Amino acid sequence: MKEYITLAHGSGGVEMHEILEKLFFKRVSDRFKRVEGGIGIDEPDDAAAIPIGGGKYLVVSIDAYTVNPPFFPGGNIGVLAASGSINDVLMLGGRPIALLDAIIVEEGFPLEDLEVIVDSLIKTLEEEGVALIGGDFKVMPKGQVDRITITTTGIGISEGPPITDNPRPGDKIIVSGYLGDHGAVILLAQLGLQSSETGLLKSDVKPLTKLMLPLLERYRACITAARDPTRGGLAGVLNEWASKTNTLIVIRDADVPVREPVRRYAEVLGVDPYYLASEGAAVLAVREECAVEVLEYIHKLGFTEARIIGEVRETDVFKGYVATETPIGGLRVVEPPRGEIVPRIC
Amino acid sequence: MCIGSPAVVLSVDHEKMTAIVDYGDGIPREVLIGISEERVKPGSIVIIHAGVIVSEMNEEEVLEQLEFFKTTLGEEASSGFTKIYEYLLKESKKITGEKK
Amino acid sequence: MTLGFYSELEKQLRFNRELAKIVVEKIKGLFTEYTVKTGIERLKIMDFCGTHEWSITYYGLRSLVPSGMELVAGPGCPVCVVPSHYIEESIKLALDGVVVYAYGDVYKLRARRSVRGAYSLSEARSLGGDVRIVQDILSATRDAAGHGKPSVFIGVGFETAAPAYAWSILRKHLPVNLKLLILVKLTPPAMFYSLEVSREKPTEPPINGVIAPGHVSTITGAKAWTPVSENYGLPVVISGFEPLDVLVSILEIMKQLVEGKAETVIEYKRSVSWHGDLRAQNAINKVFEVVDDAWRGIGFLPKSGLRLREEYRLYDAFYEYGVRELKPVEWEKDMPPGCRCAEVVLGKAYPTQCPLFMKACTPQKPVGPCMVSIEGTCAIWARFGSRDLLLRITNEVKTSKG
Repeated sequence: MKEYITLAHGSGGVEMHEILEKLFFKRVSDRFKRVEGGIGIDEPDDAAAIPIGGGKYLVVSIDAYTVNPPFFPGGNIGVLAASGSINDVLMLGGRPIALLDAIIVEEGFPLEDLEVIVDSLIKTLEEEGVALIGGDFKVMPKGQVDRITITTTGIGISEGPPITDNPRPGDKIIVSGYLGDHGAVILLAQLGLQSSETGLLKSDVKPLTKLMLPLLERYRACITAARDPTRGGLAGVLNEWASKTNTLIVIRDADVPVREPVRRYAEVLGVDPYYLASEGAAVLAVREECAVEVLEYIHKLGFTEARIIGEVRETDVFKGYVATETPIGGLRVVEPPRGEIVPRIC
Repeated sequence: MCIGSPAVVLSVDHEKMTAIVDYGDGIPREVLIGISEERVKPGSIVIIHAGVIVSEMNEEEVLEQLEFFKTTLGEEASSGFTKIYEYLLKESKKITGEKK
Repeated sequence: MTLGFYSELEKQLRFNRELAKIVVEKIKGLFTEYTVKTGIERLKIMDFCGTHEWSITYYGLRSLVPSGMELVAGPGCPVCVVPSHYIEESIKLALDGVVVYAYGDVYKLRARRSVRGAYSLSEARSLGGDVRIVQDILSATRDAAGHGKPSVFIGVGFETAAPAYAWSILRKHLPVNLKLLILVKLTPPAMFYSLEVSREKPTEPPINGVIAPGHVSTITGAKAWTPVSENYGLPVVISGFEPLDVLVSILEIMKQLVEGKAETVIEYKRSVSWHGDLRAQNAINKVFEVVDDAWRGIGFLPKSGLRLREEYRLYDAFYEYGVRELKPVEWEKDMPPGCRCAEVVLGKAYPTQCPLFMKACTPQKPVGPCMVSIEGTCAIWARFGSRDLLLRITNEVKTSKG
């Protein structure tokens, strides 16, 4: 039977990991999966790292942004492309310093819209003190690309060992704020055949520099894992961590911050907010002894909705599982994301 | 089988037998009225399945619901619902007050 | 605009941990009382609605009820029970250039046989078919009116969805280019069939009580379920969908069992009445006729489905596109070899007892119908964990240390 690429392969879930394994991880020989002494696709994380001497690392990330629609409540593809790569660098422990972009745009795309997008990208970079040091610009004939895609490479410097995600038993899981905002907005925009009004839903897309730079400076040694829960959401991040470290991660539903309108909308669609993307939130694993202090510090940085949502546990039997305690005291398993997120009626 | 979400009715179009509702995300959406239309008024709390109103919850029915909890669970266990009682009482006063 | 008193009610029914504890203790108390009285140590309660099954797993209710109490799911998902044949026909339409509107779970539903390389509407889209996911028929109506291309809406659902289709026609919402492929199924025949099967060949333990569908009952009324308590001697509770609704319904079933009663009771009083909504029932009767219909995994059940009446042919995709109806003789081909979905659907087997579960049959590549819909029992167990796994993890979480 001939196999085809489906949308599920790009949804950040089980299918995507399978196809990456098949296409890349299996085909690239081990010694070419990273630069000597650095981090590469041997540790599939937010970004890669190359040692540059003095205990420092160059952190590099790449991401292609193809959001439909390019303009959404709370932002546009320009802010998203800048923030996304900045965040990827930050999550590996790097201080973002520069960015390169490659824009492919469809013939017939309104110039005015393109200007708004590029302005947003540049503004986001300037606000974060990140230089735009290179790029590419291509136009494709009408119909050969859907409006616009932006690919960005983020470059940063890590002052210490990069944060490759290795949560340990005892570590607390901290989230920096409300989850699922961006995913809810995108679903809304894609399904909203009827209303362009945005209501109370807004994407959370933003760079996490103000959170991560002070945190890295002060608490780098406390942070055992850091990730921005984009595609695949919180469920994706925690499942990856649990299976990578052979631990059991236990969270509590009641402590996971989800905005009321997001929860309502997710319920209408029958989707679980744990699988919805955030573009301006971080999930951290923090050593138990610093967890409370780190949380207080995060609050002081202005991320007042940050919470400890659970912890990493040692387990003999349930290695790689994520479980959550429900508000009424029951328990359920949080499965890794699979397939496309689509609404259900039943 | 049938996922249903609560929403509040913002307006009703009797001609088309549709209503504009808010599920709580602040976005007005048009839905079909599947039930007797006199049950659906602006301000009604309704249950919507696949874009159609399948039920409306009036205060009387919610009170019946609370009574059911009382008889099944016993008086002492249903203290969590006191607030809802008070709310409903206040609302019904408001409604009768408006009528005057 | 806020949801007013409803938000507060929902908060209590979803988050009131103390109340949940009280209800759980009461259930345990009555369970013990029942065991002492009858010597019966294991009970089985069946739910008939995918959303109840979802609530039970999502809120982890199986980890709270007494270990001798089994909560099993009946044929409560209108998507899972759509025969492969109709999905194949829909794929054909999509690949032949018809715009196909489908709910998300129908979009993912896999057929037994591929049509020109596509096993699902999702794959049909990958191959160039114009398949659009919608949440409701009004969205499809608006969209189809906008582009004017030949279009079909895949109208699955139970009694709850039927009024939407009926009113779309009666209120003339449908543009001429949008036809309906009505595949609505009726729930009481499926429930009676499941109970009949388990009466003839009782499972161990047999079914002791029924949690009846809440939203279906808003239309049909609670009265639709009285034959269950009368003919099968089982307590029936029409339940709401919040975790405490379901727990209270289980408590009510336990109460009846201890008192030796078998009555049909409404727990979901805020939404369900005894007679249902007559106007909706009338609209359904006006537009649809009741037919013998095929249920994937189960078979042909008499008077268990709805199709458009002849006078509404103008709206009928079966008529417009010559979509072929499935005949009883063809039906047996529908079950994949090794799949125990039929038994799972009837509450006779757990998903974990099926040799294919999470081996050949996974949510990404579902083999059987119970895995295809996000609300199918197997899919739910795959996502949220089986009862056994849940109980063991609960134990581990309680005892393990970080």
